[in-house]
Amino acid sequence: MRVKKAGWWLATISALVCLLPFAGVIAGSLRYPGPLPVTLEQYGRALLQNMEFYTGFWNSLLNTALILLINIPVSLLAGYGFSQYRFPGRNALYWLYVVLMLLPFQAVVVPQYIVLQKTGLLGSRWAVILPCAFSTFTAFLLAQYMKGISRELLDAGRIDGLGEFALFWRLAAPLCRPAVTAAVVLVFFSNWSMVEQPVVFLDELSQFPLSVLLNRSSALFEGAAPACGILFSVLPILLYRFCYDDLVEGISLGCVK
Amino acid sequence: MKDRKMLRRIAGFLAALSFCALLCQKVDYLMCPETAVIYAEETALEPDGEKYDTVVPTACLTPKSADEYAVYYVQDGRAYQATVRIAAEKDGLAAVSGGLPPGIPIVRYSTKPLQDGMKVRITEEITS
Repeated sequence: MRVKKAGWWLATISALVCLLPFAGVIAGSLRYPGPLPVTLEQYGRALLQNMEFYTGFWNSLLNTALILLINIPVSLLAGYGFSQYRFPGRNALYWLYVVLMLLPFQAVVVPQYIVLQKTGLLGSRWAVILPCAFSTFTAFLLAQYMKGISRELLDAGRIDGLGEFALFWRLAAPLCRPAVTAAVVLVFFSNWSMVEQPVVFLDELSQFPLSVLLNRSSALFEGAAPACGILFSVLPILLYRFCYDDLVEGISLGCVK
Repeated sequence: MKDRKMLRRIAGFLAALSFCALLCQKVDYLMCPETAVIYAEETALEPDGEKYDTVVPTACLTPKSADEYAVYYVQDGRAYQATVRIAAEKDGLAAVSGGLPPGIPIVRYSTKPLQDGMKVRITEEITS
């Protein structure tokens, strides 16, 4: 009983420590030089007087949406291939995916930079989108999940006359909804807050996502940077709430369908 | 049901931000001062006289102290103040020295009083 109570206190204190920075930003966003101790002026300035906020916000949204639009279908097909087919070099390729997933960005930044420079993409939006859109983490996650799809189900589909793509599209893909949702949320979170790639691959301020602008030049936001940060966090929080059930189910891999 | 409610909230948030973005763009356009700019020239003030690197119209200069003047230049859509000194002056032109970056557009006049770092819109480039 005493251990349980200590654990509860430890969890509560840890949660409060984690929430402290966010609470600090919220408190900071409610202050502005003037007579009032608490004011929403920062939000007004961020929403109605600061075009840099919108430039950064829409850049973030566009980059993340394009990454998701490419990454999820490609990873779904790759995951299905790895989990359902036997082909020469499958294991080697799978391990290559795992190794690529484990490599930190700092380890691949120079080769990526050279490739982007040679292809003429450096300095454009695609320099940020393409390397992230083909990240292997999602394919790994979906392949692990798809290994749980029973062979009998797919064989039944074959007997009913479904082609290979119809098997994937009409049987396997709908079964993967929780895993796809988990992948969407995880990819969204990691790319919504990306900093290194835009800083290295982009030049112009107008192309930077808000995650970079907020860190790089708070002077741009004319004293409303905390409010911009809070507004920037609203979409991930809403998405998290929207996908919560599927996210929990999707991350707990290996469940029996 | 809960999913639909959250989806509506996400859509509502994005729609509200889109509306605010359009409004902000309009406000930004209306509030942004229009400026006419001129480029400093390398020229001599006197025939056969000494050639100066940076010659600007005296109308671009605002007195700051006894011998210092403020000049606004435009960089990345914003006006920044530089402090300069007058080396020589004649017929509405002044040769200046000091913190003015070379080859940069200098504000000749503006529709509103300028402050350091203020966003501006260049509407005219004056060539002498």
